[in-house]
Amino acid sequence: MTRDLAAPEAGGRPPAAAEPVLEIRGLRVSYDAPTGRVQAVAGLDLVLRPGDSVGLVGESGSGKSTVALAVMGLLPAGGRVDAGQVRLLGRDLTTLPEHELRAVRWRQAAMVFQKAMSAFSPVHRLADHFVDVWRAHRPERGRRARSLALERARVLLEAVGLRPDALWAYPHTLSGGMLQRALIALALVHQPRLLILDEATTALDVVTQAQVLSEVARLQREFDLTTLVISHDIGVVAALCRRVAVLYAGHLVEEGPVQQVLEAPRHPYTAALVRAFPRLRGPRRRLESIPGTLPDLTRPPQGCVFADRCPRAAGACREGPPPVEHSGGRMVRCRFPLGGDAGA
Amino acid sequence: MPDVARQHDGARQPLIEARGLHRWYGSGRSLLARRPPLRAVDGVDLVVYPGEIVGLIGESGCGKSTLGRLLVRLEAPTAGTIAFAGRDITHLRGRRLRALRRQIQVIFQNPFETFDPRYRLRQALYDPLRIHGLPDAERRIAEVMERAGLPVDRYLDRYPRELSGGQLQRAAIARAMLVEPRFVVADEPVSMLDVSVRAEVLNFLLDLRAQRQTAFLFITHDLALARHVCDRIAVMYLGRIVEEGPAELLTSAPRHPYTRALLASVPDPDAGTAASPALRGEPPSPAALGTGCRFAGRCPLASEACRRVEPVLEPAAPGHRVACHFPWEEQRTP
Repeated sequence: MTRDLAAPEAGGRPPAAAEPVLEIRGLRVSYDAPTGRVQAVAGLDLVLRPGDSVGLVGESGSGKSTVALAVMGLLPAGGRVDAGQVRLLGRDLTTLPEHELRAVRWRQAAMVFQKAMSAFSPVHRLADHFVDVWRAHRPERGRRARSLALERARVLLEAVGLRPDALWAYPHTLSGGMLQRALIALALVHQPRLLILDEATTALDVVTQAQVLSEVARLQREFDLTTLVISHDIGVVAALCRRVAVLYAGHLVEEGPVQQVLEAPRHPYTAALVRAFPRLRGPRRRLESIPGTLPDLTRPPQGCVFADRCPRAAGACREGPPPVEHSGGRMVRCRFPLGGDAGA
Repeated sequence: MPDVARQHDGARQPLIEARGLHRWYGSGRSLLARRPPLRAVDGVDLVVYPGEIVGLIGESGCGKSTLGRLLVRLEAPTAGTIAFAGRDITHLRGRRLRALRRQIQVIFQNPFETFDPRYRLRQALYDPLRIHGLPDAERRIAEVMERAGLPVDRYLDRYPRELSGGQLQRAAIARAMLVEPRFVVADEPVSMLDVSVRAEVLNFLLDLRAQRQTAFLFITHDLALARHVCDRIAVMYLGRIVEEGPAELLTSAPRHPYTRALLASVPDPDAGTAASPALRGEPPSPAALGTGCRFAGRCPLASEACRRVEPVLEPAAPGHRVACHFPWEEQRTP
């Protein structure tokens, strides 16, 4: 273990020596674009130990969904892993052939997307989806497979707050919140070690979102899940995760325990993102934006990717990549991090 | 900002005044059976004063967008009246309706659907001025685009796809403001945008209000956002406004159990855990409303009376109205 980003002070964390569930090292992913290759993920390190819950936050184009797709081996045509490793339970997925990847999906890692409506086949009842997923990875066939699958489905539907008779419903008869719950239940059929939620509650109304978030929080404990939560909403990440990793233009710029990072961000981008987020408490104020736009990722800058939008940037920031600083379970990739002088 | 709200009790004339507004869909019979109508907007009174930003909050399907469409006369109400600057506009047609469109504009959620992808911004901006026969097109466009942070020399000849979502939404607001409307309905104007660019769009809107006294109905599902942007907030549930009051008061001391539930449901970055859900279940269909309070089925405080008699909006404090038989604060224990 070259280094350890886990925060020793975060309560209930397994010992650092536990074998990681997911270990991403130096991951680089690029996409084909008319003007060249877009560097979507530029050398990402991320380690999730058993029971860990990590939120990956960032804006559109930051590369957060690309990370998830790379983990699942689901990059679209034109996208490829250029370098690095994605180790799931010790095995590097980037070199696995497709037929072996299939054995990994659902069983060891499952992913829940934003649009549940398009994840289900409209002409099949929920029950058929559970039976399909069951059969794909189990030896049983025929009626036995069906009855075992449905037995498991009933347990899971109840766990996500749905009535077991939802099995007999067609997707279009269910509300968005019920479908999203059903999709989470479906992802848990084979008891995956890693669950990836990619904006899984973003399309829901706030009341329904609160219901689903509290159910997921319970599932994390009951099913001993290791979760990677991808969201643009720092509130959602705070609700579900112990740690947060902030992604900007394909680079992790900051990582650490959620509450520490949100209360005292060290990277100027994290600080700006937290300030831009409107709060229900505290003084009413004029909202702050982050002026400027993402750099052109077909020609990534030599220096810090955030330098052009950064209020603290100096000449040195544009010349070379910023240093990475690790301390107290936190990581920050910045030449002039906030709170540095005070010894944070 | 808050001082605007305080002036209401005086003699100021409302800019928009909706009374008993209803919009029902599909009333009557279907092919096979008589079906009850879907009551999207079901008896709304709403007033917006000049220069005021009123937030309209609610979940999907509560009728907030329909109400917005009624106020800009994109749809006709089933019943009720709408007055603009003291004049009844409920049934305006033809030339008079077109003239009204200059006074009342609308901004939608998705700027990429607002603009025709085949035309450059130049065309999209000149059209409204030509339609309304306004002089000085060059100057007006340059002015409003400058304020939108989109200088004409760099942006006027671009196609919509050549702008980012935030830039294009600012262009959409610029276009709406070109004809100098007095009232604008903004329907989820920033919910498609990244948090980092929302502020620039909203602050542009706030600046316009400050300069021109434009009034806004700001439709959103985001209470935290509404708190920072709006003077007043109205909360809608199943076609009716259930609570209405100054933004700060409504978000800090809500009286209606539904408003309280909405507030408790917003994920709080400072809390650090998932809150236990404030409400179970989902709203019933607006086509299947019974008697009594429409929130009674989900309300933790509902009594027999709530299921029999529908509460009406009544003053709870100056400028604060709530439609509930048991508004908060009258409860001894939470």
